[in-house]
Amino acid sequence: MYPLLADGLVNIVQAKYLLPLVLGTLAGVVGGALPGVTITMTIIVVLPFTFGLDPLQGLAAMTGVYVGGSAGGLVTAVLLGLPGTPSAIATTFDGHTMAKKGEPGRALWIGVWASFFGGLLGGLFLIGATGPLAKFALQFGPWEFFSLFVLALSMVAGLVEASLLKGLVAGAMGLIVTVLGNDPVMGQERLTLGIPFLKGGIDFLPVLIGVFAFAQIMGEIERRGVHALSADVNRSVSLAVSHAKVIWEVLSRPFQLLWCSFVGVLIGVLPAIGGSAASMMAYDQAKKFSRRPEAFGTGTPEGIVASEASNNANVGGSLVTIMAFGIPGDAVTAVMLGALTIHGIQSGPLFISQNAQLAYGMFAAYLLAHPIMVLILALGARWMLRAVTVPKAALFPIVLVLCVIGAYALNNTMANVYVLLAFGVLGYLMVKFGFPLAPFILGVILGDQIEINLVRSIMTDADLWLFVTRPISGALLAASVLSLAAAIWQHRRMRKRAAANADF
Amino acid sequence: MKTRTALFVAMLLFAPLAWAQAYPAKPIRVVVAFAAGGFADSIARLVGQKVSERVGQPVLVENRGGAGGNIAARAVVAAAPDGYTLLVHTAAIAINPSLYRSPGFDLMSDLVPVANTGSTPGVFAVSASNGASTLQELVKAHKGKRLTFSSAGVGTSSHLAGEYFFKVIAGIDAEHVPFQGGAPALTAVLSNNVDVLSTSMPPVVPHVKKGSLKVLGISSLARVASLPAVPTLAEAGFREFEERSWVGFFAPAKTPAEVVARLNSEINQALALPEIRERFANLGMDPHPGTAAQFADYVRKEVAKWAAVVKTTGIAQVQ
Repeated sequence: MYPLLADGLVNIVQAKYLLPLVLGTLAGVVGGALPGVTITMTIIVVLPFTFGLDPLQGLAAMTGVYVGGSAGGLVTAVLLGLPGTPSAIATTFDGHTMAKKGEPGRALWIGVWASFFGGLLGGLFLIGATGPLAKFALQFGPWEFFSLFVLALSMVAGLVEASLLKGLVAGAMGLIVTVLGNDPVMGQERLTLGIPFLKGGIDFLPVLIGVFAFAQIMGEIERRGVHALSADVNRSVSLAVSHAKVIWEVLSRPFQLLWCSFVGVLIGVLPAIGGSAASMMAYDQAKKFSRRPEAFGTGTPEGIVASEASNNANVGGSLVTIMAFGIPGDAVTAVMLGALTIHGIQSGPLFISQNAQLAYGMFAAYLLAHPIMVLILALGARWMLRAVTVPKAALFPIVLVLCVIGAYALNNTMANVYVLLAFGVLGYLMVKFGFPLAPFILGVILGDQIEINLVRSIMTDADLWLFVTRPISGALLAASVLSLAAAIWQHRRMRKRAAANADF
Repeated sequence: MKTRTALFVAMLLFAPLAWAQAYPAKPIRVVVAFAAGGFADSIARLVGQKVSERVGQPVLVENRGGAGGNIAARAVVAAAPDGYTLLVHTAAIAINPSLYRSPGFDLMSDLVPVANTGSTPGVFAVSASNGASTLQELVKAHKGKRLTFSSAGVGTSSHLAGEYFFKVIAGIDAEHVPFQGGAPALTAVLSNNVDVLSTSMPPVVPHVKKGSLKVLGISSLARVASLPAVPTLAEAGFREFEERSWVGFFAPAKTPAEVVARLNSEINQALALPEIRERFANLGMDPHPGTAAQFADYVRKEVAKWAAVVKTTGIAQVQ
């Protein structure tokens, strides 16, 4: 295995593979950074260009997009407070807060280096533990998926911010969004309210950008006033940092880095939810294990590391099922394997053994894409700075237009633009009335999957006890209870401390 | 001045012609009704790629799975009928009129069949660790004990074939567990969470070679070259039954006839390429070249056949 990987690395550093890898990573970073453009969309745009290339060139380009995109999302998340891709949602919590406190460079580079190390750790798991991870993935039936997503949903309690009640209401609203449209198993229409475009259900992406973009941008305009926005040109800001110091900030919490990467890998190995859930779960875990949970959300480096390490490690995890069974783990890898069909290579369990050079070339490309990503971001910092120094009066309209274009491009229908608008208003109102956005988004991400797996498990076996008696499922449900209890305990303790501080 | 006017008139006169010749002037969007990486998806990309090379425009494949492919079909029905949005669907589109009370579109009046690509027989496969090594053994093991089978989704031909074979032909208690696409349905059987996989043949072949799946029967009238050891349902001692997964191109109903004809001819010429012939053979696909009218006939026959199956199995209609 290692000689094959070494061959792959030697192979991939040749110019004819390196160039597509660099270009793919660049495309990924740009696509990831643009709010409203997901990694899947970027890879589909890149796909036709790979047809004329040889298979490994195409795979290198697409692997680059995947890695670059997972990191690119953090740029927008940190500098503007809106996630460039769904997997950067949790990065906004602390990344943008730190940037607003006057340290955008530090926030950005903690994110970049966390992505780098998280991604490489994901690669180590991928290469060193494919067998056990794949076996673990096969243990997951619908019961385990259901319980896993319940555990993920229990994180709502950890993300509620000031008011427990408002957090729960926000989470419930998110779940309700997923009920509209089609039932995901049988395709029965429900709650379409007679509105034709609701028949297809509500796409996740316009909801996400709507809620975040409007809430961030409208909120900021309101806070600072229109005149301040056009006059406000801050030329003194710089993204330059001491890299040694930032790398130390990432590496000085090895347990956290390892654990968050591991969470990312696991969520990647288990298909269905992907990077968005991985980064939020890792963020929640980091907060639970932290000695200073109250610092989360106020611009702590730990929060950025948790989110970014896990979402890049997630990429490594989603390559595991390819390595083990030749089956795609998520939408992005499905497109990558689909592209191979065009070249006459069939995915499936024989993929690795029959195309060892190709498979290991792909893993080598995955590893190499990480330093390339760091390099691209370092060289691109000058342009990224513009996002901070350009007057907000010019920047905000541009961002909103980009959001609308992204929503439209999703299916080339106006329906998604209306969804964007409706949820933009909702997001604005939620922030205005103190409802946290994170639980809402979590509900939207998980609602469908919880329902699908609940229905599927009952269809497979009507015995409800299986949720508890199947060991992994039972353990996950127990973990959800613990997670809830821990969150409520932390919540109370923080409120008590706040109350005690208020006395002084 | 006069020359300018003449030029202008000439432009007006020839503009429609220029427009017709210009098709396709921009990328063609192909909406696949099932998940990326699956059977319909592979065929759409394979054929789409060749069509793209021939017409000099990109063919962009987009996957919109769910609800037996109705979500994708509705999206294409709602798209502009200009030949730039096509639907790639399977036999499911011929099943949905009988299975869904309101599929959200009318197959024959909202869509126009453009071209069939090819078809492949359905198979019943179990995990290598399953005790049964013939269909008879499998059915015997599940007399009085419920059997579960997975498919790529409600309303796929694999779903109906499973219902028809296990409930009507074999007469046992069977529960269908739908997944979104062939890959997760296959994983569910690999991991022994579901007993039997009902699917089209291509994705199963590499798993049989690897030894992770056993194919017990093939819903075909004759054995096939890719799995020579696998008996047909009749050979396995059951009533004869044929289920073929096909993959065809459709367009919104009002798409101009000349655009449909052009697409049909491009797809047929792509199917005739030696490279595609070889690729289809590897996949276990029999190519089905033909005119758009022939494909429309085939679709009508499929609709009638599956309507009868829905009736005899008593599958509950979906809203």
